[in-house]
Amino acid sequence: MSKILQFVLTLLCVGIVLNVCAMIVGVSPSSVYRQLYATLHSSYGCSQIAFKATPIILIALGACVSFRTGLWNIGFEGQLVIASLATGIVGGYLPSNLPGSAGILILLLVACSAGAAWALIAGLLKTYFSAPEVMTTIMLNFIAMAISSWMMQHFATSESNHTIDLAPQFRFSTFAPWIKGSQLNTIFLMAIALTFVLHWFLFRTKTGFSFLAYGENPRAATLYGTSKTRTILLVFLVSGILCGIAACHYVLGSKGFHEDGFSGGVGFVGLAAALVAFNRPLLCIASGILFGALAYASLAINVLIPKEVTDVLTAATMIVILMLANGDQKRS
Amino acid sequence: MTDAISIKNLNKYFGEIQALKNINLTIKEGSLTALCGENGAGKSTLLSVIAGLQSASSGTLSVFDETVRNGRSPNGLGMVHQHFSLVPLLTVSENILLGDEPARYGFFSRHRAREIVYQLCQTAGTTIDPDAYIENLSLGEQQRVELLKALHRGKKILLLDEPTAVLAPHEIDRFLTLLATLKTRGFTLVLVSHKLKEIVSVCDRAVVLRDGEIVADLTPSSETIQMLATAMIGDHHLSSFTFQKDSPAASETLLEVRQLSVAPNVFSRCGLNNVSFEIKSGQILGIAGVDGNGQQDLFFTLTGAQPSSQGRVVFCQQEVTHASSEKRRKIGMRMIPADRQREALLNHFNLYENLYLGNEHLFSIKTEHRSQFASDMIKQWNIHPRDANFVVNAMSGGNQQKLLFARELHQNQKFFIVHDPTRGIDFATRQRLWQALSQLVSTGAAILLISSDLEELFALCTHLAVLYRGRLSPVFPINQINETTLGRLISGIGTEA
Repeated sequence: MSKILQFVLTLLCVGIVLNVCAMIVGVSPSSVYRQLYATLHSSYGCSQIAFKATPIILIALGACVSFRTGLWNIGFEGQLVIASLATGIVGGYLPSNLPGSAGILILLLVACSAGAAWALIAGLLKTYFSAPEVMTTIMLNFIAMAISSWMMQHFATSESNHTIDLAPQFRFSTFAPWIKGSQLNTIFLMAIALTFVLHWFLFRTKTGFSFLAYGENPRAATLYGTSKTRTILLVFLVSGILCGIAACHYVLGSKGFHEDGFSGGVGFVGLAAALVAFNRPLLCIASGILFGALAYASLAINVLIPKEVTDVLTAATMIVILMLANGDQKRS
Repeated sequence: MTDAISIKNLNKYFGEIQALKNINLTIKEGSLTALCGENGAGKSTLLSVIAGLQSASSGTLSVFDETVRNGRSPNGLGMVHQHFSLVPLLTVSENILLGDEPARYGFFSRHRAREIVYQLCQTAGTTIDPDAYIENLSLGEQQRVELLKALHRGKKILLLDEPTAVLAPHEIDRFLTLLATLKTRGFTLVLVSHKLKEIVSVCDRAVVLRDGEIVADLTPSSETIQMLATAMIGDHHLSSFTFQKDSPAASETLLEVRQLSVAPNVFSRCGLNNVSFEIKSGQILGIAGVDGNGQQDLFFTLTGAQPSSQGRVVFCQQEVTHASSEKRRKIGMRMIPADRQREALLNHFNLYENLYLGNEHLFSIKTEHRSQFASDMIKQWNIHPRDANFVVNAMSGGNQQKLLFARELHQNQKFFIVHDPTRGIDFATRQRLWQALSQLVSTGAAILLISSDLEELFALCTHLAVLYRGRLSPVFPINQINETTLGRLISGIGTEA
């Protein structure tokens, strides 16, 4: 099936689901479309989509690298939570006379190392105890969330349920005046750049090739000189670092602090986005934006259609895409 | 006595290759027949055609004087595979009665199930605990359960594919007694076996296949055992390939293996027991033997993919006993495993990418040079198709193997471990691959050739040793060993059981 046909069919199916949903809740579909068009047809709407897409793209990239290497890492949510928690806590205590760029650099490092450290737990368990990463990463997600709630009892300010607000110089500024009001920040550009970097890394470098080879046939790859330990640890390291950057999107970008439940399950949406992108880094931009658009659209039509229904829409979209792409997930 | 199985003018083709050539065979009711021959001689194919698992290309098959339609499973005929089809978490009686459970008020009746199994055991003249769980049984016991299962289903003819290959020595004797009892109770048995000793001890007829043809049909006895051995191996003068085996005078020891042992494990039940040998440059040491006697363990231990439990391996004056495959490759070891799709190739990747595996240093050169290397290799080895984007999975076995050779041989390294390099590969490619291996040696490299193909071993090796149940025989220079001795060593005659 041609890619264009697939795309058209997907849109069609999403349309049908949306119409059915609208009719079930007793709203005319045309008013839903009008509302959608009105909200999305503005520079603010577009930048909000990009804003929503940013962490999804980053996590989808991590998932691409993991899945391509044959590692079923489901632990992005946990890595994200730990990275955000660490950044929020450290950020709150940074001396306010520290220059902005130094602070941002420190916080980026904190976020990436916290995310990577958390990811490496599953990596080490896999390499040294052969513990299946699907299970360990899922469990580590729960542990991470529990750690976050527990730590928040100590680090949340008394008048709020989040960590101390970052000093303004440590926050990313919105990067253009024409997207007034949107929280879109520098991390979006970073995510796009990283997409190309990871594409180059996977398909043009020695280590990238050994990742792909390991994912395709681990027995052959190890027999022909790929180190299993190094490969697995590196993959988890990369996914942890990407989660760290995604955490900065929240802590340094939109919110300015860490709080429980900040991500809204973006660590899982990113997995879906990677699958929809057939584990190709470059397609992650498109699938990230698709999921970002769905998330933002559901806010936009929230007046007309309840959130539960738009969740159905997101899930249905994914099912349709995976259905149409059946058997296409291997390299073409 | 009537004919249990009768086969007339049976042919079987796999594509271009003729696996069975005009087979005519009748097997009497109540007999115990052995089908023997080398790997790839067509024994298993013949067995699966009889069992209706594969359809014949031409010819007729009748069972109990009833013509069987092509590709159908004949009534009253059961096959016991090398890999058992039992449910490990169920008991013996549950497995035997699976699909035909005795019921009482609609519930499974354990009591009646037990009785049925006891009766079956009596018929077969054996014993087994009906309430034991399969996962707790030894392989020999599991095999008995398989047999009882077939008997319960009213099978009068039993086909057994290498039934003793997985069994421990003491289990083999018990199993052979069981076969003899079944024969006296009127069952017809056909078994595939390599092991001459077993054939002689219980079978009343041996049919030898070679290259898909029946080449001998005789009554096995201690007098005919030599005839059997030579019939299986055949004469090796047909090969057009010649190789001057003059090794360079001053040669250094490349690989030294001392008392290497591998505990029997889940991957291959055999393991290795005190294996010692050494290879000098300019030598090809052949390791002969029937599959499953420790070949896999030897290959994977020496390539660093599997740990050894004891012993030392010294390669190029460096201790590599615990070194990874990566390390071993770095100091000049190259490997070609028997199962290329499972162990060596990236099946969904294209031709070029497969050439890069293990040659990742190519990623530090320009993309054009890298693809130039790949297309040169494809030309040099005459790999088809020439299309760079062709997925390896869709290539023929011969071309996959050439690809693997191209990848492993291009750097002219010092030492090669090669396992069954030409199994299932056509004549012309086979000659090409042999040529390549012999050229390597003339440039001072050494090869460890693990092979179950005697023709290959005699064509290439300068030295030969036999692996039997994880033990290695002494190493013989090729001119000091003949086919008869080799045949005996391979079948384990003259060694303790």
